[in-house]
Amino acid sequence: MSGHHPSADCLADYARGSLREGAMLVVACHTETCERCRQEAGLLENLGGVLLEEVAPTALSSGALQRAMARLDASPSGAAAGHALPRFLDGLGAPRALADKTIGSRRWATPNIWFAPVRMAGETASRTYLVCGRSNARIPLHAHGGLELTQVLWGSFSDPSGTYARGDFVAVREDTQHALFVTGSSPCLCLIDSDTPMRLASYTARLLQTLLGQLY
Amino acid sequence: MCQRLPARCVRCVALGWWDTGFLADWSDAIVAIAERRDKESFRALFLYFAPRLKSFYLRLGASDATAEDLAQEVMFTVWNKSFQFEPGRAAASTWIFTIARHLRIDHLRRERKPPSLPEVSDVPAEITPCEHMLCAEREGLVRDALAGLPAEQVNVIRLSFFEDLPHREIADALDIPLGTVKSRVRLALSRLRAMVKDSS
Repeated sequence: MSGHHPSADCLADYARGSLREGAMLVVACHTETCERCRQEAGLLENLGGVLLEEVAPTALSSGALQRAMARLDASPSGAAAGHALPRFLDGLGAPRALADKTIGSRRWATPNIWFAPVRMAGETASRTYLVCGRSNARIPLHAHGGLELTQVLWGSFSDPSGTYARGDFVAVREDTQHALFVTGSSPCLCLIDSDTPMRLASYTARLLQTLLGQLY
Repeated sequence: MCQRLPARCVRCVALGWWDTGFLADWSDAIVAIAERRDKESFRALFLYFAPRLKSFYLRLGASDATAEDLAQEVMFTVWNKSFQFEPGRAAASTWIFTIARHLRIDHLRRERKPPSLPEVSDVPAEITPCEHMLCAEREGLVRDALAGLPAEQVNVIRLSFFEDLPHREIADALDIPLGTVKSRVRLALSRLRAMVKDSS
């Protein structure tokens, strides 16, 4: 069990499905490894199921059932294979929730850091991506314009506010400026959803931004 | 067929199960779809859940046509992803709800609210989840617990959770202060959690 979790409100929003898509994915990845949050979200999902059964039904238009039945034959049968996870995620503890997402090719921002976009099905203003740093890699000082959610999938990193390890969920709010260091001997993989692009503080760091910009 | 409303369940009535005391669960219908592509099970599921899914989307602000399209889409996803359903681990209605929740994100172009900022404390004190409980058995407990809550608390839960009304709108609709809405939601959820935990 990890030490840093989404808030109760955040889990409730997740359970109801009222977070943006990328944020839903980050929280879903968290609940895969966190028993506590999985139980809490599960309870709220049960509540959703119960309320769904208890709601007064609304009559469907005529022929709705026939239309539904007619679609069945045209659909693929059995288990449709999800997208295979890219090889570069091997051994990095990629969660199941990523399996049906389309992950773009990775771009090396520096010799020690790569980014890979996670593409969402719906229209979304946010950016969701995987970032991986080798041991001792450093992500330069940068700022956030909005809200950034991070789930640590593998390894650990530290910033001035603390050290975050596999399973931890971190939310960084606007006007936070920080630099990150990958700690420990293994690489650190994180899934990040951000509602605005990050702003890098130093000149050299803008190279990172340029590369990040090319992802989308 | 279903344990809750056997007399009103199309499949129970059609097959005479509710009369003979046969009680199964909607889970069986999903399993039948996964294993045998059973259209009769799909038909029963559709007749029960699609009108409720339509209500769900209508309450979230979708138009009549969109609500119906989304209900169709959810049921089609149930057909296609039935192999992902794990009976015992998940209750049928909870599983269908989570599909409905995701399609809402994909299709319902509504203004998205930003996620709430997680609290700084490591473990919020208000959460004391029941450990290691299977979703399927918990759903029955949630159902019982909900029935045991005062009507005013069920009302705010339904409005805030299911119908996705912001707390301020609930306060206006019920003509009570905003703080009261928040405390009622919090109280109701913590009572629900405690009741589920006690009976588990």
